[in-house]
Amino acid sequence: MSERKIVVLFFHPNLKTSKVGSALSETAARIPGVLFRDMYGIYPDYLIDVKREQQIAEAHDLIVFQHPVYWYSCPPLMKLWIDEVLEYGWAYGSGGNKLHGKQMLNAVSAGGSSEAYSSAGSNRFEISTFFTPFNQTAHLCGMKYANPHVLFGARGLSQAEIESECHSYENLLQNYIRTGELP
Amino acid sequence: MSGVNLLGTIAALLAAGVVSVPVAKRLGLGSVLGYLVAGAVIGPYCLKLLTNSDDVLHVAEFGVVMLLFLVGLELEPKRLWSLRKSIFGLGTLQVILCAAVIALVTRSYTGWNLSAATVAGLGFAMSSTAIVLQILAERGLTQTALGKDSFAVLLFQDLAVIPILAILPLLGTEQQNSVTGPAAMSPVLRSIAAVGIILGLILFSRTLVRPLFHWVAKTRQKEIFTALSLLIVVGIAILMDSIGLSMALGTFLAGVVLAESEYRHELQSNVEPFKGLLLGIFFTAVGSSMNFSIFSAKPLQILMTVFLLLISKIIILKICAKLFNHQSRNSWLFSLLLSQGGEFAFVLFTTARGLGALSADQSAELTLVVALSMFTTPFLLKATERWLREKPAGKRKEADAFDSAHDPVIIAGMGRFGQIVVRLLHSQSIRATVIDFSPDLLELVRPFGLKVYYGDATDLAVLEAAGIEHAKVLVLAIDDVKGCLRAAEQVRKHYPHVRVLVRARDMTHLHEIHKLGITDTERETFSAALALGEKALLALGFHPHTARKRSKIFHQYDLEVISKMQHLWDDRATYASSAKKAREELERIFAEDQKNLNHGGADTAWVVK
Repeated sequence: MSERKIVVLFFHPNLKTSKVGSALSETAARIPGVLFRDMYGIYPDYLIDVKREQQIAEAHDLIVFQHPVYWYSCPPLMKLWIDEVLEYGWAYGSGGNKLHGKQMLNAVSAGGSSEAYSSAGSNRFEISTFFTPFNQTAHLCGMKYANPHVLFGARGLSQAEIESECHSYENLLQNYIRTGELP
Repeated sequence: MSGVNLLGTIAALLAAGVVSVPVAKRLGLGSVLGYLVAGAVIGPYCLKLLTNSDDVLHVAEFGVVMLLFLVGLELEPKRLWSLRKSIFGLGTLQVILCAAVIALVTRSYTGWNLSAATVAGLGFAMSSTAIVLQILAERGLTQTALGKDSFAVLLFQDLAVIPILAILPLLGTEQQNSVTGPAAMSPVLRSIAAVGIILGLILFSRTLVRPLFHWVAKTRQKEIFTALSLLIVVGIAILMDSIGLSMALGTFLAGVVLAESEYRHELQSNVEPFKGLLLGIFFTAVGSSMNFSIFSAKPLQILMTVFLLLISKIIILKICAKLFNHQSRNSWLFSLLLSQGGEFAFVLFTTARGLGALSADQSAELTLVVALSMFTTPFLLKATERWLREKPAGKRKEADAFDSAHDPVIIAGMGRFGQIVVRLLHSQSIRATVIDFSPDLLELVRPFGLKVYYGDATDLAVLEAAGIEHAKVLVLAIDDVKGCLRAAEQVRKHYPHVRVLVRARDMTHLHEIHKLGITDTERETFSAALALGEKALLALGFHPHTARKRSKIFHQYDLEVISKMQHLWDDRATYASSAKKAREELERIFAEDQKNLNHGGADTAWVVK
């Protein structure tokens, strides 16, 4: 089988303030075989080119939503992308099979610690619980929903920790390109 | 000088420059040497095309005056004040040490009497403002620490001219008789007059310059503006000369005072070409004034004198630079740069001869030595270039410090359009330099602390004066379509690092701009029309979000159509038919959109089944 193709749809409305977001983006962007798209840069007006986005999605095997966790969910442009691009008759419903067999992955950075995202923690639920809607979205579109790749405590990381996080993100993407496997 | 002779002289001077400067530049020796050689070639000892070099020199000295005026314009009082240590510390040290040592060397080498040796020392302690500043400018070093220190020393030398001319009679053997006019003024009176003139200048620039320029600017006659600029320079020069001050020093001070005026850039671009030409003629005249008969009589002795004087001066300059904490690379460059004798030496030697402090032979010989030393600077710099360049120094940092004095954005055209652009940038604390040729508009925005300059932004020289070299972005929002295209093209060509943003008047203008490879464009009425169209949709009962989205889609599509049709622009017939097709395509898209609307609640979004 030929190498798998990844598109990273990066949604971050305020990249200037996010060291982690920038570092992870740069990491993803320089991997050969990864198409990296800075969505807030491409659609500053929230005017998504649906046809173009569908073409891109069709041409890739893994769609990565890379984003920060905002209010236990995603930034608004990403929700709009889901609303508009995943059309009836294209992504789901009658004849909507264009995404069948592909994979979806949320690669996120969360402000809270992993302890906070637990039944005993201040956020009361596991992060995968919060991501149930994405999971079901993938399912409805015939996609396989991979375990979210989560970076906890994103604001307090040292330079060395950021580098190690980038490294693990890079490994994950590289490994998928080679083997088609996600953890 | 008869009329024909005058024209002949001018032709000879211009031709010599046109031939030799490009050659010298090609050889990497700079324009100064080109002019000097040209002068020697057309001078009385070679082609004899230029025999009245003294007259020419006298006229062309005004080039030096203009040069200092322009230097002054670059130096706001604040910045001049920051140079005070270099001017008085480094400058004093250099002049006194050089004069003393060179006087001693001259005396022991030639056996001249003390007063002649002292005149030689004083004359040779001076460096050539014209040569040094020209070289600094050609190499882009003017704003580096090296450039600033060199300039400070030159400035002090110009100041030192006044006391030196005052003590010269003490060295002479002949009594000055019946001196009238400025020289008869006592030093005290002269100082008072000088202070008075400078205060007058400050008053003049604070109160009169603005209304005066404003008044002239309103005529929209460029040549009157040029005339006013030149009149100011010449007027100040005459005023300074009348009280016995150096014209160069006087106009320099005038430049500093006017540096804060918003007409500074316009002054700069008006005086600049005259300065360049006159300086060129000045160097040519220096070249032609060299007396080769003295040289051929005792070539070895003359060369030896040049060599000794240069070595002494370079060593002293190096010591001075060392004391003032220059890195070794810079201190060598500084010493070589200032090593030649200056144009002031010619004045000094002539005056000293008149006072009997020098004999006619001594004066001619010294003049030749100084002129020859001027020849050496370009060669010395060229010869040491590689050696001095290999050692990296902290020059980059200096350049950055200079950058901060320049605004990242230049806005050409401060009409209704430009004003909005400026306001947005201003709200984000981004500084912008504004150019416009309507004095009324400039008056309007000046209180907001913007750097505003009167000038024609379609003139590359004005953009250069406004600092286009250091800008990141140029916004062209001027009404003159042809001028706008010309400016855009020139900036693209000469300053490709500058991002040019253009306000297009209409579709024709837009396509012409795109043809230059500039895509950062905005039609002046399009966005506003679209916004009003959107309001019309609202008034007809569209939901605000839907109306906004329709308008955005329309905008997006319109841009795509324009870019698709760019290549057809030259062929108007095809363009018209494809414009028609484009309209049909738009109708089709909107029709399709309407179908989609019937499909669900929102355009394409989630449908519950």
